[in-house]
Amino acid sequence: MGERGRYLPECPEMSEVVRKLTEEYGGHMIFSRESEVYVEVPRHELRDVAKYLYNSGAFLKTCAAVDERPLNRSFALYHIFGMDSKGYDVIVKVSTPEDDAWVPSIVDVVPAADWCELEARDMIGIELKGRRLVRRLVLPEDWPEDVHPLRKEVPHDFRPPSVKAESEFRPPERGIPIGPYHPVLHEPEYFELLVEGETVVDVYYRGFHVHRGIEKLGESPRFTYQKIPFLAERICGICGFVHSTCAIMAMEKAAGIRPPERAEFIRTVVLELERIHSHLLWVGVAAHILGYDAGFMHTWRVREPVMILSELITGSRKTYGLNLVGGVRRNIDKDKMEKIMKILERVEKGFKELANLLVSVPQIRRRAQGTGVLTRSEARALSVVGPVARASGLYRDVRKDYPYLAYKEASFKVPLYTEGDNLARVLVRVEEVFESISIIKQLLDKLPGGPIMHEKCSAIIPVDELIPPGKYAVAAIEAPRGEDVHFLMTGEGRPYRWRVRAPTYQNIPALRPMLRGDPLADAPLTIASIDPCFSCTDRALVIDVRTGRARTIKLWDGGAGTCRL
Amino acid sequence: MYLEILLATALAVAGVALAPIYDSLERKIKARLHSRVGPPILQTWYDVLKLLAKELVIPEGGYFTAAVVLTELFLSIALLVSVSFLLFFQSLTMYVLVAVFISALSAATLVKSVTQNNLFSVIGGFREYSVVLSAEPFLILLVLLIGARGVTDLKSLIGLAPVVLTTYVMTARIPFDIAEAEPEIASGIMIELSGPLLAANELSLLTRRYVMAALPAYLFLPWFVANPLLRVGLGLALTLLTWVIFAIVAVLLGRTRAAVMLKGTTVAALALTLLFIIVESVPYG
Amino acid sequence: MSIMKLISIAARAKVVTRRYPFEPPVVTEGFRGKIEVDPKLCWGCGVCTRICPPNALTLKKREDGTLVLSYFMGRCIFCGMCAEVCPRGAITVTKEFELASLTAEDLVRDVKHDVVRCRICGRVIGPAVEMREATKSVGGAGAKYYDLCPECRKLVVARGIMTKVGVRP
Repeated sequence: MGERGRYLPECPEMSEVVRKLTEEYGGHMIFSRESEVYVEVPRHELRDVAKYLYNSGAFLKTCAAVDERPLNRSFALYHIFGMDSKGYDVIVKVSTPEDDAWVPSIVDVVPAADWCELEARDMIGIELKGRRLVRRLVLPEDWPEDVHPLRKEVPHDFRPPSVKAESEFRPPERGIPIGPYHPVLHEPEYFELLVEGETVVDVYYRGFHVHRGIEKLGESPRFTYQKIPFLAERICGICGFVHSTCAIMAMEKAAGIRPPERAEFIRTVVLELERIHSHLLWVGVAAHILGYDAGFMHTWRVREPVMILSELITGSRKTYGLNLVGGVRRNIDKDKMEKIMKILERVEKGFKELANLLVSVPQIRRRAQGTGVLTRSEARALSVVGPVARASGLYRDVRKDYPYLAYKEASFKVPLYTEGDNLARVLVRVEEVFESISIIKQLLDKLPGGPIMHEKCSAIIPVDELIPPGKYAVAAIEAPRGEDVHFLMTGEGRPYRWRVRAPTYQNIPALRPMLRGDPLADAPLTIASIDPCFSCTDRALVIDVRTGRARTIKLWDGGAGTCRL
Repeated sequence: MYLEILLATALAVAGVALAPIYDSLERKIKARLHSRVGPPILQTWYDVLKLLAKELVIPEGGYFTAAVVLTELFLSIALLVSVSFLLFFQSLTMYVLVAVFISALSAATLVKSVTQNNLFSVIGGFREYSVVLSAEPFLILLVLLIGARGVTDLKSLIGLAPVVLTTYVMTARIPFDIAEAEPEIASGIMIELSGPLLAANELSLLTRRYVMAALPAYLFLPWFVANPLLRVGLGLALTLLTWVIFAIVAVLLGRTRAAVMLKGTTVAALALTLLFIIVESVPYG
Repeated sequence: MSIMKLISIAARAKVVTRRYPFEPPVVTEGFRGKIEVDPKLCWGCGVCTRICPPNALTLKKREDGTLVLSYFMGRCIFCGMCAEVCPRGAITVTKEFELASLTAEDLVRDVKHDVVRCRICGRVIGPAVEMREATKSVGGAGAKYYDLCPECRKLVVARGIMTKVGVRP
């Protein structure tokens, strides 16, 4: 690879990884950008490559399967490894011919690959070799065996006839169902807790009930780059702005443009506002789960001005519709700035008082402390993200590891706890609220002047010409729940493949070690403690991992045909 | 004699009517502490009447569950009547009757929860069992003690402490509402109930709450106040006061865990009851 | 007893919920509600239908020879992109959001436009207002051909030139 030096002038470590992958594992570099490098490796080397990257400190962000048959008669799987400590991503591509579609599984090397591999099998139809447990994750049981929704020949509005459900693996014991409809889960999802007395001994999970096929929709002729931010915003009802910004960052990377500085500042301010309201919402819900409704109501009372503020700045309490490729649609003027400062002052004061009150309630302290423990090594192996990782002593924060937008301009600290229990996760979030308030204040203080939209972009000009086909981009944002990753492969006027990996996707597998051995009474709190967002997780896909048998809720009798592409 | 019977009956009837109103009041107090507007004062009555107007759905446990729900309602009203008579008639038989009804009511609640063919209800039942175990024996003991020995001295008022503690636990308010614990076991013991059955269940729960709010006053008042009309007035006032205090306490606390509760409450109730017994058995002078 | 602080917090916060709908809702000046299309200003060009992310705005040709810009609030996400791109400024974003209704038809607002048909082949060329205004701004020779579809116009113009130069078509 003689050209290596030309591609990778700045980052010697990145070049070293590329050298290793190309020279020792027979790979070749496809493409690189300042914080990403794409390397294709032969599929028989994948396991060794994964082992090497994992051992050198990489976290597996996710993997994305792509149907590349129209391009080169093969399927491809992109494993996205994030070198958190160095601040760049290594994307390892393996191709597999269409008539012999399999890739080696890396689950035993990198446990975090569990879900995304199964998703690749369901959605694209790539077989996994060397995996012990292979079963459906995303598709419902009554989905036909040979239809893989993300393949290009499947139309985006295709509804296959329901087939007779296969019998799936079920645990022998009878468990306590939590979900799909349960007061604590605000979205349909299914947990089955196997208990002895009041102690949880094991947990079975089944999700993906709220699959809406958003990824497929984004690739369909129904959508263009201009409309995708609005679609992405609807992946999540709480952290929608994260998704829209993340999708746009990927598109902007692919287009090779950077929005004006002021636009970046405004996006950062709104992202942090979203974190504040999301964390306050969560703290309230946690108090409610512990029966302390006063904490619930008052936290939401403190939160309400933040929602009103969001509406003032963006036009909506949620799903702001603020973002476009190239910039933002609304400016923050002097008057709004003063209002933000005033309201944040009030929120800070109000929440400080409340946070002290909350931890003083004996039942909250007693039930949150020492329950739902996730050790650091489990957290590392599962590549958990966000407050869950930081409560288990894992220093991970996209804002610090891969500084994006205007985060370099603000100084803030990342709360870190080592206990790994529910209380630690509460405290991480409480502290993050105050950090976010401080970030917004700092950014507004030095908000740069200038335009809020890139000169090549506007609402009227179609951005399609700016984004050439055949480009790759990976963008990540620290959402309130952790790292949100969008992988984009560009096509003609719209994405060729758009993969969204929401933070909860990474955190749900961690519930198993967290719940085991805990009192049943605290299980809802533990489930809530990862701040699960099932709509995000399910964005594209019905699951059946570690399915449980349900006697009281006959979930399997009719097949779980709740999800249609 | 006839006046007393008349007054006691009136008190019991008033109790049934007042319990849902006091519940609305409790919701209002709770709302105020939550900075909310809260419901109107007749809201619980509206709720009950609306539930009564719905169709009857027999739960998965079958007619037996329905029968037990109704038995529970009758028992709670019977308990209210017997407690109301306690204000005027202090024979040991009266106290025994109250104790029997308290016990029967708890038993009915337990039976109700295990007859429903629902896992959550069964878990709720076991939790209810632990609540009952940690408080009810002491409450019954206290009732019988007072009935057997009478209250003669101001220092006997120390007995109020264990009575208030155990009656609070018996009202199944936070932190002791673990048998229904909506976020954990989705209303537990009442998960299968709806419509008129839920209304009956609600009324019996509220009647029980009224009895528990009244019990501290009704146990001690007769020994200090002679005038029956004054007894009624004070009884009503103190019941309301106790209910309000219970309501505020419930807002200030979170929900406990079954294991923690068994230990904590039992120890506290035991200690306070023993204290009362010791104080009572010390000779005068 | 630090849990008692709740009482002072609640006392200071007072009652914050409202008796909505008996009291007005909180709506800030930044709020975006449903849109209104001014039929006097709208030309029926359809730019808004192309930018609309959920396809709440559609342009439909009716049998009776009218063109309808149809706005279905049930799909609208209230992003206001249409108002931003409208070349005529015909779309305004209102602050109205109480749109619940018993029938889906109540959620539809139509703006009807007469169309211009080609005087030769009878095909629909476009909305009448737009054609008229466009012709005005082009002026002169364009006015002669405004009611012709592109194909017929080519034919007519070609025939005209041929006649002028003396070639029999």
